[in-house]
Amino acid sequence: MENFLLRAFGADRPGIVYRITNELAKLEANLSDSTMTDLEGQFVIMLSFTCAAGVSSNFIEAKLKDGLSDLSLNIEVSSIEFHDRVLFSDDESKRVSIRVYGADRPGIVAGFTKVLYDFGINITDLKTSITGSESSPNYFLLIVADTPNDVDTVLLENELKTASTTLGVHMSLDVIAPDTI
Amino acid sequence: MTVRAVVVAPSNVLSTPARKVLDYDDSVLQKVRDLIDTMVESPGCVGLASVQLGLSDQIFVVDVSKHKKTDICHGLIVAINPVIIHQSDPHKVREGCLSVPDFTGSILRYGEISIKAFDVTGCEFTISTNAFEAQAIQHEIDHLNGKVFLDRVLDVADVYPRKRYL
Ligand SMILES: [Zn+2]
Repeated sequence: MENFLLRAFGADRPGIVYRITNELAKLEANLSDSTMTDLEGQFVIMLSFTCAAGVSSNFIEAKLKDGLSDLSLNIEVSSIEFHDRVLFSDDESKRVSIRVYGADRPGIVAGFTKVLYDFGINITDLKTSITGSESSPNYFLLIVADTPNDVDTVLLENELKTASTTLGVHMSLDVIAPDTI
Repeated sequence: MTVRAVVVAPSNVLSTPARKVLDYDDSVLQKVRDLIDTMVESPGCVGLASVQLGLSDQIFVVDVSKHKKTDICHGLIVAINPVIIHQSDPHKVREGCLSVPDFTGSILRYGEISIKAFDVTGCEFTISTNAFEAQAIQHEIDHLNGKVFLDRVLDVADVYPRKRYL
């Protein structure tokens, strides 16, 4: 089996996911991880999948572009290697959720992710949204990250608070370790 | 001492509501023993519902006495035909399950609950509890209603793949 990554986007409308996955099903592709969301009215897809050996990314991309030409999607397929997930530990690994909101300004994401980088924390999911009027835009940022067990979360919270003061936004966080029941 | 294999999702027995226990006979006692033996022998296991052993009866066992997030603790709880009669203080927790080895999920659980249930002799009792014991009981009652925590996930950021399990 060969591993692939598909990136696609286009003006949002019903049926995009069905049409793309249906074309992949015709190629007997097996979907693995994916994330799909609406960004500013564009539906954006990142999708990993496996296909029988001998099928090239160019061939798959051409098939998709041909079968989906009416959707005017921007489609790219690349051959990739799947890696093990970067998790610091298993059961005891701490997941930190950081929420940031406030008036929009440049540097919010960079300001907070710099702190996480300095602590060696690995971001697993990140979502930002902008709302409000053009004159007073509001920004929301959610970061979900996997945290090494030896990170001092009090120190982490202090550093994040300092970043939020500098940037003039509100920040709160939760650190949750999972419990098996 | 009978340690039975834990059923892994997806499975019919895990997604079907369990039947009410009507006769409090020796077979119920045997099932309770199997649940306790399997819970005790499974590393890190703090609770087990009958459906996880492939049995379709409304029975669960819970023992959170060794867990660091426990506040109120009733030791070993054996509950038959349990029903939640009060719940308050909803909050998010991150949970895993022996029957769902590859994921953990963030879901809503109540911080304080009261349940009504029956013991192995058919006597009714109530338990009011909080914190981790309350969470474990809700988890097991979900099992008896044909639900695992994955059935409660509402958002894309709320389910996490697990690399390895215990
Ligand atoms: Zn469970």
